Amino acid sequence: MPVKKEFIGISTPETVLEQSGSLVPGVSPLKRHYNKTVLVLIDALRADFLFSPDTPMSMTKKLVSQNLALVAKAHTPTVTLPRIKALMTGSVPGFVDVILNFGSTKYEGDNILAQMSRAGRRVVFFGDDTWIKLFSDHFTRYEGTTSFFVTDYTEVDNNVTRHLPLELSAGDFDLLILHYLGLDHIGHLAGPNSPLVPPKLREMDEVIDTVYRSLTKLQGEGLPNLLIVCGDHGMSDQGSHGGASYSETRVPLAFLSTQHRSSTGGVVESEVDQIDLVPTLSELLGLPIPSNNLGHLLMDMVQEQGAEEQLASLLRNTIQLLNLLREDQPGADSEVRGFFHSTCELHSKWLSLTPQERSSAMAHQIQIKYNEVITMATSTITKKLTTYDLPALITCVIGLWTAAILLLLSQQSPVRWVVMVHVISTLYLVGHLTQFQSVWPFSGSGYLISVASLMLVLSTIALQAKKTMKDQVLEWMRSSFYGGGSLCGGFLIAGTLLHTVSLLSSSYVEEEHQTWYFLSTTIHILHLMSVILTMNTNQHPCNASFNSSTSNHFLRSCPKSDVESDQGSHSDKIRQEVLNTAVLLLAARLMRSWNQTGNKWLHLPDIVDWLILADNRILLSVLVAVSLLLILVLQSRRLTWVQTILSATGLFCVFWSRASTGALFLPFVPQMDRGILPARLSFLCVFLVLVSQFLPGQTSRPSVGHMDICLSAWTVLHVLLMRPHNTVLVAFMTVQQSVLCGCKLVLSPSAAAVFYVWMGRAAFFSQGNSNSIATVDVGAGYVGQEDYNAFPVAFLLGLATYAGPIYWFMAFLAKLNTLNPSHRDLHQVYFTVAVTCLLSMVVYAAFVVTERYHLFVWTVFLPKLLYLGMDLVIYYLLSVILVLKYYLWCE
Amino acid sequence: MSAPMNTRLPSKDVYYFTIRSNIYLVVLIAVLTFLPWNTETILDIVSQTLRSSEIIIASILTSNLLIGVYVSQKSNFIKKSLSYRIRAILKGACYYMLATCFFHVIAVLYGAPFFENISQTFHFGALLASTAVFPGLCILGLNVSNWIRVFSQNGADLGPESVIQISAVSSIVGAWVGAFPIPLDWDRDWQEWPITCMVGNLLGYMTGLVISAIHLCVRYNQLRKHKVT
Repeated sequence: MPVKKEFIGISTPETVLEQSGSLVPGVSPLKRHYNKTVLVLIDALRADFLFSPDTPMSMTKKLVSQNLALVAKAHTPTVTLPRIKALMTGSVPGFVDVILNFGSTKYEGDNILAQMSRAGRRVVFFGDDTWIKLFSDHFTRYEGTTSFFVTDYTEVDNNVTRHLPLELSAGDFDLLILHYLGLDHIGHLAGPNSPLVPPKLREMDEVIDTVYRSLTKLQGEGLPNLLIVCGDHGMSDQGSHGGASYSETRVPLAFLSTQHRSSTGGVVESEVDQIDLVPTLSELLGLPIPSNNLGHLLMDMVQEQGAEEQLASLLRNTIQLLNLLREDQPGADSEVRGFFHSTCELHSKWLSLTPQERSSAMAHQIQIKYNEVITMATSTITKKLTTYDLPALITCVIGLWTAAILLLLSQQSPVRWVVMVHVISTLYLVGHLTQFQSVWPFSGSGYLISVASLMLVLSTIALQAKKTMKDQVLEWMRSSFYGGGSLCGGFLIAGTLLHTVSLLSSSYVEEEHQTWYFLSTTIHILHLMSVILTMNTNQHPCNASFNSSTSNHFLRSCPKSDVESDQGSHSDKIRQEVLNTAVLLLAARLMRSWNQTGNKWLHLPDIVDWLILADNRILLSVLVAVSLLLILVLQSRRLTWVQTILSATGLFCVFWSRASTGALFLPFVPQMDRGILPARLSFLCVFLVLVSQFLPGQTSRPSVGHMDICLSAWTVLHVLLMRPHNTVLVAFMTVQQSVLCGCKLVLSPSAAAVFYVWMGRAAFFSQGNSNSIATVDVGAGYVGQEDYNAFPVAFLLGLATYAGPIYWFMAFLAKLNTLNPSHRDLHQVYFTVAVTCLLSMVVYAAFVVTERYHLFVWTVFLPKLLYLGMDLVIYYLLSVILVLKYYLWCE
Repeated sequence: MSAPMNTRLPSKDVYYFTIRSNIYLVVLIAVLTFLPWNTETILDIVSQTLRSSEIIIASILTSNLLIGVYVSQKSNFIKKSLSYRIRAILKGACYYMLATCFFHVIAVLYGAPFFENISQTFHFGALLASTAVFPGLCILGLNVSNWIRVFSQNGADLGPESVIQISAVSSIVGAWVGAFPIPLDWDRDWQEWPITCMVGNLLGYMTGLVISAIHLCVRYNQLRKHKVT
């Protein structure tokens, strides 16, 4: 995937002056056009909120009609953090940047705010604290509001508005940024058509009007003031954002100047890019354009300034873009540069004329030429962002396939030298790919040799294994899945294949949770069916012998003589089994409706939506407390009393920390600051529970393995990382797990592996995750953290996102203990886990490469690829635990 | 599910009757379901899901009942007392309702909405019960051992019973497969719950009927040849 190079360093007014002066002597220098600027950024203000005929924002609309407003197109991803960065730097984030920039670290690159503070201007900020994490160095004064509680849509905005009277009367700022979050929260809560939206828009309208009036009064020093109103991203019809649909990307961009424009403005129909704000604002404030800017100066806005200024601004924009182009792709700017120089000459010729001789036609011509250069430069830069490194992609896919095939055949006899060749050539390829990112240094001999050796490996294996491969796979399937009842075992294989195939359609990728819910429900029901069938067979042994040649596998499990003797206890057992399965099904159904996810039915209300309403806080607290108690009770069966007390403390601390953040209600206990201390205490408890199993004095019950204790410790951590309402899900999972412990649903270890992987996938989606990046719960990364630290936050974030799969894998390990696997079984388990994870990855990676120009590739396919990759990493780490456990522990 | 392997040769008129009734059912369902497709009439399953599914259910029930009556002429059911017969029929109706409720619950467990669309889900349950359970009730009666013989021991005879076994399994599988198109982003009317599942169910039932007719045909001729030689 293409990684964008950032231009490091900050452009200074001196260099800008020097460069522009050397190209066009006598060009007018940077000049400030506005005294005070206010930027009102309304989160999720989509274009039709302001521009539709019956908008509630009537006053703003009136102001707009006297000034200038545009419909701006925001780039994907339409999420606040990348949008803020784009609005201040003018850069377009590549896909990878979204991932790399998940944590909002301090932004070091060139941006408008850095330019402001370098120029000694005062920047004041109120609003979303993402800005403070990014740019806190550049603000003179600031106060952030957290966007943590989506349910709150009044307080977040009042916290911004209450500063206004003081700030506007003092008027000692040069740039005032107000970021209002309320509208976005309403969108997430109730969607764009909810009755909450018009009052909120009216409130925003009043704010804009007040600010505009005060700015008119503040006018002084000969320069007018400027009010900019914009949205960072739009809102889809379901109320969310993050994708690339029309309503998500179109936002208003209004420039309201206190000096009335001579030419008529109003709403300009043509669309501009949102990042065009950056060069325009820089020029209006007399600052150098940030060096990574890709925006294009808005001519409508600088029209007031006269031809000379206009051309100078354009020149500076062009120079900046050409510098960026040269930095990004050395040598690519040669064709543009020739054209640029001729334009510059024309520009200097125009300047050398006396003001009377300067014709507006000539100025217009120069303007058009500059615009052409700018368009050429930006398109060359952005084209690189969307070109694919095809040879590299294909090499990677080949590598993946060889790895997978090697794995499939490793059942047989791994020939050492083949593996060696494979490993070496793969390593070389990886090194090669990471070193060279550009397109064609691939004809080197090393590359060819390694690819050839990969091919060699492939063909050797293929030749060697041609005959036995089919038998091998069949043999493996038969031996590993037969134990769990042929129906369930067969379905586990079929379901895995079905899921792999389903990933080839974008809708099934978006709605992958449905696939997993469907498959896991089906496996339970199939189990139920086979239990009922065996019950009937056993109750009527005479009938069973009626056709014994075909039905003997039902009978095999209990020979005829046994059936009659313990028929009573047997039917009891079966009743128990049916009851167990019913509990499993019920829990699965509740978990399914806990969080709506995906795309198509995202707007439907779910249980969580109702629980997190402010009125239901007490109920939520009671529910969470009950589920924590349930978890504790179910766990305590496996633990010694010391461990029970430890995990009880841990769970209590979880509740305490949630209560401290205000999400839950807890009487009689003091609230700690942001719940950091309690969260850390429960981290400690988790650690102690883990350690306690190694203490010499503790003799745990013989039936309890180490894995059970690890599972209990993980449960405490799991609860800590979840949002409060998802705690109930963990309780459901614990119930399911303890039911499954005694259930005969899966009997052979390999079938159990696949089954638990399925349960993990279903749990992954039921906690609210989806295959879009927007659903990652970033808040979980900050549990028990005071400020941003890249490593722990990323670590916790990974754990929290994949909490469900990790839980079920641990549960699988605990279950594996009770199955007493033989060596051969273990080997098959490794193999099965690896195949189930790799199969979808391999097929999907190849598919995405062939579909790289698909319409949904950025919004659907690539995020899924990332999730799959992450999935592979998680399962790889978990398998390492498995291997370690059995090769070091048991022997 | 492997095909029934029974070796008992049915009588000739039962054999012909079964094949003919299968063809009749297939044609009937095809006409009722696919001829009025998208016509906005009362039989259109897309716009008038409830009403048209009621009609389809009623026709399937009557046809199966008639088949049952024909088959039972040869059994000893007809010789029992009238009160016994009435009680049996009422019991059968109860079992049918129970099966409907069971399938309703299963559909909810599979993710059908719990509070909304209750009547749609219930109609789906009724349709599934009338293709998967009701024919069995008509032919096998209420005797549990008959059901076990047919469904869990592959012991169906070569006649109506094998038709029941194959068509019941394939209609359930059809309903299961019918859920696949629901998440696709085509935004069609017929992607609404439970239309695809109903259609899948009917298609599965029809496939089952066709397969069982073919199976019957092949096996019958095989066995007859075997007997002749």
